[in-house]
Amino acid sequence: MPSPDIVAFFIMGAAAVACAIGMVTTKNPIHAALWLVGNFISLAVIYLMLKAPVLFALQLIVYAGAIMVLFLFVIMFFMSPEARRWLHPPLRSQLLFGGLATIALIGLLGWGTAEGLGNLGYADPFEQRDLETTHADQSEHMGDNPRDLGTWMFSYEVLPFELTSLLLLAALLGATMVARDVREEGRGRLVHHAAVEHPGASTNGAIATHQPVEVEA
Amino acid sequence: MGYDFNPLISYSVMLSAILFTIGVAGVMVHRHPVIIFMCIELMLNAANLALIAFNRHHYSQLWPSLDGQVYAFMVIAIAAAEVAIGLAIIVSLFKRRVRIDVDEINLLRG
Repeated sequence: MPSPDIVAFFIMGAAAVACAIGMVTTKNPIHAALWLVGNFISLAVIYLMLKAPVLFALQLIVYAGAIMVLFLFVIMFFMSPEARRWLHPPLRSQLLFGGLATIALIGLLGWGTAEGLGNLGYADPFEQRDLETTHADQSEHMGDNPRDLGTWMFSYEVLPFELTSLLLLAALLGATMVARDVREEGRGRLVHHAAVEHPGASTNGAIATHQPVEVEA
Repeated sequence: MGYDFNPLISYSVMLSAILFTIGVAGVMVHRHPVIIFMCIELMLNAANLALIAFNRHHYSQLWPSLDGQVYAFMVIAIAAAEVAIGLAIIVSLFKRRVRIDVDEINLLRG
């Protein structure tokens, strides 16, 4: 009889894989988002089993909370009924080469994982080790609390942490720049340019008229 | 030594490989940009799982390193930034075009 945490891991791992497959096979973005939430939650439980409670909480808050809300906002805002046209099936060649590359990647990752785990001493990954005896030589202090993580992060990884804040600021500004409405904002200048260089040419490539274009602002 | 020999670690690494592969397959098969983004998130999560599992493995009393968890934390932050930028790009595409297909989006500007 396997130990309870192994059983729990297999349940959560099966849920994660099932949710991932469901996400990849669906064509509806909203269904994909819901499958992805299931995958995030089961992965969060696995983080908890690996004694990373901080990342468990972050996974739930940031991924299953914030990032999924962002995805759903975009999907819901722009999912018009006539936009269902791009719910088209994948191309046949895409399926063929994607499938071949996937099989090759499975082989590569399987080989690499087996090789790497063998080097680390997990020659037989399905071997059941006695957890109590292997944990006995370690103290009960296993670095599984938020305090240890914070101490370690601010002792040894301060610079990457600060660079992360810079990255988030840059992403904030970049997202604002990219998503702004260019057409409304740039119209005045574009019309001005066109009117100066080619009087009478309309700005958006339509047929030029002989009426001078009103330059706004 | 003092490594944490725990079968969960090897299972986690295998699960990480499986999830990463599913994510790659999704990126290659799908043409909807939002679903492709979700597949990228799946791959980032798989990488996070591997980071945390190896951190668990390498944690020892002699060198109580939590670098794996710290970098998983940073991967989450980077994923958030990437999603913000990527969804902003998708929003601007939705504003300009009727048909959204990654095969037809080939201009950086215009």
